[in-house]
Order: sequence, then C-alpha cells, then structure tokens
Amino acid sequence: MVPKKDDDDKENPDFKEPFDKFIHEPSRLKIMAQLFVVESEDFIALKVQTGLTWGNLSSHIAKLEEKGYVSVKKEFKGKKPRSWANLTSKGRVAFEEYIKSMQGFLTEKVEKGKKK
Amino acid sequence: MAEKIDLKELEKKAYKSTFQDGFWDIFIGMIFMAFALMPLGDVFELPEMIGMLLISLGWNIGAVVFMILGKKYVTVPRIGMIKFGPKRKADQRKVKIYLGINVLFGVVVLLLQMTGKFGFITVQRFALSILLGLFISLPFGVMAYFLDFPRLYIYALLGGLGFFLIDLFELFTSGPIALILVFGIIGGSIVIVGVIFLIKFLRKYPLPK
Repeated sequence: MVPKKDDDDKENPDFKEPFDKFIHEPSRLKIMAQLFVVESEDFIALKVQTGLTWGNLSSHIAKLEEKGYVSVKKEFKGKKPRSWANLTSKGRVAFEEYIKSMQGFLTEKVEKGKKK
Repeated sequence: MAEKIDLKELEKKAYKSTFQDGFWDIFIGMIFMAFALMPLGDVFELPEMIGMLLISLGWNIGAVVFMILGKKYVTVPRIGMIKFGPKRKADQRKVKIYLGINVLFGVVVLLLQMTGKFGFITVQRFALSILLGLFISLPFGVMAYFLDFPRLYIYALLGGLGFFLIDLFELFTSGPIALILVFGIIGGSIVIVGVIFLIKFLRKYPLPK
C-alpha cells in the first residue's frame, strides 16, 4: 500500500517519494524485515516465517537479488539442494534508511494532522 | 502497511520457532529419566558405579542422537534453518562453555568419589540433597536463561526438587524404588510435554510438497 500524495504534496513540484517504494511492497517488506533480524535463512524458513507462497517468495527474492538487496547461495547436502538467503550490506543499509524515512514520514504526517 | 512490523518481536518469533517441535523437552525429559534407569545396573549384575555410568551414559547418548536425528529429519524439512545474529550466537557459545565446565566438574567429582577421595567428608543427607539439587537446577537454569527457553526453568526446578522428593519417598520405601519413581515421573512428564508439542508441531507444519 503506497501512501497517496496529499494536497500539499501535489502542489509541490519537487515532491520525492518519502521512502523506497521497492521495499514498501508488502511481500518484499516481509522478506527484507525477516532477513534483517537474522544472519541468513533457508527458503523453507523464509516461507514459514513470512507466510508467502513458494511462487511469491521466489519471484520477490529474484527481484530483491536483482536489485542487489539480497544474496542467494545454493548448497548441497548429499543430493538435496538448500538455498540460503541473506541481506547484502546494500540491502541492510537500504532497509535501515527505509525504516528511518518511514518513521520520519509518519511523524511528519501526525504533526501535520495535529496542526489541521 | 496494516500490519505493524516489530523487528525485535520478529526475531524472537523466529528464534522461538526452534523450540516448538518439542525435541528439547523430550531430550531433557530423557536426561532426567536416566537417573531412574541407573539402578538397572543391578539387574545386569554390573559393579555399582560402572553399571550406573554405562546405563546413564548410554541413555544420554541415545537422547542426544534422538534430538539430532529429530531436528534433522523432522524439524528442518518442515520449518527450515535459520542462522541467527551475533548476540544469539554469543549466548549459545556461553551455554556450551558453561556446560563444558559443568561436565568437567561432574567427571572430577565422580572420579574422586570412585577413588574414595571423598571418604573423609561426611555430608548430611539433607545437605547432599541440596547439593545434588543445585547440581541439576543450576546448569539447566543457566541454559534456560541463555537459550531464552522459559519452559526449561520449570524443568530445572523439577529436576532440582527430585532429590528432596527421593528423600521423602525413602521414608516409606526401600531400595531404589524412590529414585525410579521420582525421576521416572519427572522425566516421563517432561517427555509427555515434549511429545504433545511434537504432535502439535507436526499438525501445524506438514511436509512441504
């Protein structure tokens, strides 16, 4: 759910999105938040913890990997493959910035609401 | 987003999920049950100390193997694997070091006892119960703290109380019945709790297709 620009923002030609819209997508946000609090997780754990379907999980992981936020490592235990995902340092920084900007955005909106 | 994301809570939830399979409970219950099995050495006519050692060691190795295999073949295929951050890793390291020291201390005490070096020390029965109780409760309590596993506090308390209960039971019974009953019931109850958790876990997380 991306916040809509309010009337003040629409009038401002220099309007910039207040936070990273790419991370803000709910499924990607779940994956990023989950990987932010641990060192790494395999795909099964990531699926269980985020509650996403296999299809959703793999498509969003692929997008996050493409963006350089997540790195995926495949290892084999015998014949069984196990894929591990972890946040890259770029992803960690991006998520921290996302949290900061989100907090700032919400504080600003609350202050504006109080004034109105 | 409608859902509020609490990062600390998220990490805690992921961490706690590693204890919901009941294998830790079954493992600890089996360790307590090992005390109840010690008198079996008499059945096989083994020398007292050696019989106790062989049986408890064998049973405890069985408990460790059961937990490792359970985690590998039951838990991991269902909920996957998570590598936690540096704080959790440091806590787990502390548990390992603490348990290592405890085992070493236990072995030294046992060796001194076997070689009769403690012969000159006379300990009152009640004081011995306190010592043995602490010897069980302390390591499990420390493990509960560092592993962030609250059920383990209860098990630590139960294990520590066991020796007092044996003293009480021995007022009405003879031979090793008190030991078998007390630790059989304590260990068995903890195993049952573990099995209930395991059944719930298997229902909640079927094998992914």
